[in-house]
Amino acid sequence: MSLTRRRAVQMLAATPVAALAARGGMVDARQDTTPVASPVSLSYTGTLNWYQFGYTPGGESVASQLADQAVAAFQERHPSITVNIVGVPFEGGQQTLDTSLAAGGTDAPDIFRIASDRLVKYVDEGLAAAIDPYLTEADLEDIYPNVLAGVEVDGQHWAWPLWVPPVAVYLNPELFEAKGLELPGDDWTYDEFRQAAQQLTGDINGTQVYGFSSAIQPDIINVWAFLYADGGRVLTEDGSAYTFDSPEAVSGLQKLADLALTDSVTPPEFGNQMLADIVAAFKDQRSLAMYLGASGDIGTYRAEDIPFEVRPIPIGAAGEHVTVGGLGTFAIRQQDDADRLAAAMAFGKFLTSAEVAEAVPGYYLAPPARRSVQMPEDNPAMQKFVDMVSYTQLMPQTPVWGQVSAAVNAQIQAAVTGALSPEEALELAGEEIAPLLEEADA
Amino acid sequence: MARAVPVSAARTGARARWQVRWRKWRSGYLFVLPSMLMFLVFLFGPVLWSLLLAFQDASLTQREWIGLDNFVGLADDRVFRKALVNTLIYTAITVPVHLLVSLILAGMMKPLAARWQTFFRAAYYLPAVTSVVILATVWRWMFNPRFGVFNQLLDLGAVPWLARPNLALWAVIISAALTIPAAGVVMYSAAMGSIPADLYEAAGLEGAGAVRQWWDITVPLLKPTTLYLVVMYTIWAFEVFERVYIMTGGGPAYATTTIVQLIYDTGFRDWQYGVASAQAIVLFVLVGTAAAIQFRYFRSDVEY
Repeated sequence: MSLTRRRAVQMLAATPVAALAARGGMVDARQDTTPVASPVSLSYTGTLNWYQFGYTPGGESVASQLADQAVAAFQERHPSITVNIVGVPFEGGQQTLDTSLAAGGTDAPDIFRIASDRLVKYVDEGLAAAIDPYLTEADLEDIYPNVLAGVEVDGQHWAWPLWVPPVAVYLNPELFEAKGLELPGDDWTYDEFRQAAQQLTGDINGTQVYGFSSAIQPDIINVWAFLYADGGRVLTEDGSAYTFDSPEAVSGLQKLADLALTDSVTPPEFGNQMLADIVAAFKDQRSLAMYLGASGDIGTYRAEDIPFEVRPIPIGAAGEHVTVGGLGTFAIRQQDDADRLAAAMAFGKFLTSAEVAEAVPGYYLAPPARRSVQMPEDNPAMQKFVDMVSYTQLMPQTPVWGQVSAAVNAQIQAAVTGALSPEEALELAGEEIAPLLEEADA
Repeated sequence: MARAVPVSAARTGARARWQVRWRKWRSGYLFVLPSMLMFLVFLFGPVLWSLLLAFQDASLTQREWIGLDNFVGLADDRVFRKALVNTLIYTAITVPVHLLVSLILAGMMKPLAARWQTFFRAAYYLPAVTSVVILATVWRWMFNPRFGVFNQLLDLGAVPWLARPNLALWAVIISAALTIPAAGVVMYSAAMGSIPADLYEAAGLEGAGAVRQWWDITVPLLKPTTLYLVVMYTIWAFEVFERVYIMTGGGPAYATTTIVQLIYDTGFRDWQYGVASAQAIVLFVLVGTAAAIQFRYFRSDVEY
């Protein structure tokens, strides 16, 4: 492979050590042993564009306020840099982000939030820059290994891991109490979970309560936790082959289908119930005793003083704690301006560091990707999620992840509504996915 | 014998005619120019671009010419076939229902006083100025198996309309069919008002009753309006998206996935712009074929 002079200069300039040495700056980032995000001075003077989902100027939402405070803290450390936050809506904002990235130019995003399972597409398109030249030894020790692996494509790392929202079970303690049931321990099994769901289903204080529900939508993987808990895995580790048709995965899906079709502990609309409806049933109507969710709901329940408890996914046939989760990251746009790229990398690192957690109280809304981040002690539910990070299974990297997720969830819907047997459903998903993976591999 | 005209003289003549025509019509051309530019840049251009993309393996930043591969792939794509069938079923049911409901409601409004006609036209037009997102959200609640009005009114028990693969598409169709077709009512109502009254008087003298007059006079003379409505309703039905997206998300198990939703997912979720364009071309051909057939059968030379 030939290395052009321009590319060589880019690579040299992209390495903080080399770039700083050339300017008389002075820190060998690889020798740095502390996980502090911004130990180096940056030579870039100008603006960085941060495309942030759901951001509205003026701090109308908590997330927007946190973003503003994080930017203020970064700019205080680097006065020559101005961060311009561009708010993009959750609905339809992805297209805005993608087209802005593809268009490039000075107004294009320098840094943007992306779930790790979509990262490989940006890497393939040359839109994301590798973070390896900016990863210090301290970073490598600080970031959970399974989390760092979640941003690895072809041996390189392509985004700064921010947080990991594992899937867990939310419980309504009032409904447990009303039925005279003790809250389960963290090591509960599937059988204990099933028994609790059966006992919780029925009339409680005049309300028809259902023991369990969960969203099954094209891009939501929450119920996959049952399949993983029995030892199933959706794809091989390298993302090249479909494996959810294994007996382990079928066993997990059978359990999920049984909850709906045999035990009738799920609401009638289970299978196509929207996440918002599930949360409303849990907190407003109090008609749902348990559901699968990530850590994002904690903030809502604490703010509204809703009683809730969090437990790990019940231990399944695999015999150990397993759950699934997403990985929120900050990716940096690949660009020719080495100084600007270095500044964006420093900002990405800052936004995923312990330093930002100290500067902005309450910054982390999900379990952080780094060990060094101290979470507030007054949030035991969040601590439960933090404890799950070490055994959370992140989704494998494949450019056709969107199709894989949609195909599997469509057939899970078919299985839990009785249209297909679990075995047929997972085989059918495989028939749809196999050619996609082959094409992606080719 | 005709005299040969020199080439240069012919050119001069043509230029002179063009100049005369330009002087006469230039203000007209200038008036339509902004609209034509907008049409070319924002409509015709993207359509042409989409046509070219359909023959390419196109992602966000990369493109490669692959001929008909995208179309061949669609033939083997089970989800696309399912979406196609869903869309055809939706169209085949909602279009005739909307036409019939429009015709009946407009017919019922006809004998009313002018102010009542105006009132009902405005009332029936309300759904057209209400966001489909809101309508679909309301319908989603109405189909809720536990507290939805639909099950309660019909005393059906907890039927999970939107969560069962064999029911979900019918629920979406019912929601569309029961939404008053505003444009149809208003247009039929206006068209009925322009049918000459003496035709009805003559038919009455011949002994034709109200139903006979409606069937033999009103319906045939509304053919131009019917043609317009059937073409427009067919196009709108083929393009159904928001209603399905809000009510079912295309599920369960692809039971309500439609072509436009698939185009959206393929393009914006999967970045397969070539495949999405090919799907759009197939949709275009379907709509065009349907429109051609409708023109063939509903065309009328009589207009009032």
